[in-house]
Amino acid sequence: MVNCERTRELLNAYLDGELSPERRAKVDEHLRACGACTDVRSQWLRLNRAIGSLPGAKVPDGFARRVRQAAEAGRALRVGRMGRRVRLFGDALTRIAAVFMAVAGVAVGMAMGWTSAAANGHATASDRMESEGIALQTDMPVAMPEDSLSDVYLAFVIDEE
Amino acid sequence: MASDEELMARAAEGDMDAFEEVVQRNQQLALNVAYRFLGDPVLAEDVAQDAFLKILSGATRYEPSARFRTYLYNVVWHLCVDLYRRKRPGPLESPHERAHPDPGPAQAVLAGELHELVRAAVHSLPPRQRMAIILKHFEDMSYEDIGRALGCSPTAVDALLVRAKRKLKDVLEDRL
Repeated sequence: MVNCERTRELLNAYLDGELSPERRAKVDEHLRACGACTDVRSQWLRLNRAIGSLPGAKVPDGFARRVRQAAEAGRALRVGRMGRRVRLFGDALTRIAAVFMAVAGVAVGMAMGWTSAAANGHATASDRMESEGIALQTDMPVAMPEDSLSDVYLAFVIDEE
Repeated sequence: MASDEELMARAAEGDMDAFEEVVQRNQQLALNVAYRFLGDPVLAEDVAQDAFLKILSGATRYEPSARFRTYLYNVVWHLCVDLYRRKRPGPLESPHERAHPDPGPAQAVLAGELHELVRAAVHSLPPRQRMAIILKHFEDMSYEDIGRALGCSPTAVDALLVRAKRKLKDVLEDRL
């Protein structure tokens, strides 16, 4: 025979008809002998009835027909737009072109980034530091653009003023 | 009479009459679940329509290893929870009900109030618990089928229902 704690754990499944016949028989046996658990079962039953009393939705007129029309319109739209289906990266030529474009884009980006203050002929604070014999361990770029925040900071640090 | 699964197979080949038949047979079910979950009849209609359209668009991949209805519940569940996460709809009461309260006899009023309390309480549950309650108490599904619809085990379904009902009991105890 199961005890009260176990019976109450099983009550939900018991009321939902989900227990095996053997387990159901054990719960039945306990409920016959236990008024407290019988009260708990009654509470669950009242709750189940209250939940089940809620009304459902009304089916709008013509719902199925509208769904069919939407489905048919969707199919017509897909065929009409494309004519011939084109899949992104679907054919070898498109894939090759995509790779080429990606490589070209990276190369152009790198070429545009290859500038330095030295190349531009500006003396930056870091240049002045070097001329003063001051070594500064930093993980900032050594060549800082003139009047950049980094350049101003370094000028402050080496007390140009 | 052809089964839902047979009709879906025909719909997959372009038979729109078969598709419309499937919709007509299952529209009440889809609308009920969506409405009870979302609490808004307009959103529920959108979700139900989207569910059928999604099913049709995937019809060529539909494998009738589970019943069609279980598949439909699964699609409606995912659409409902997506909408829930995006919109977090407000209280269950519809604008029509707010504008036209029916005073009626005292017992009807009390019954109406209890319905509203129960609906609000169900609507306050987290999504998985809410859907488990709906599928068990309104669709009378087995734990196994609910588990298939929600993607969990029958034991997990029992746990969801127990947690949900404990919360509902706390809210509704005085009125039961």
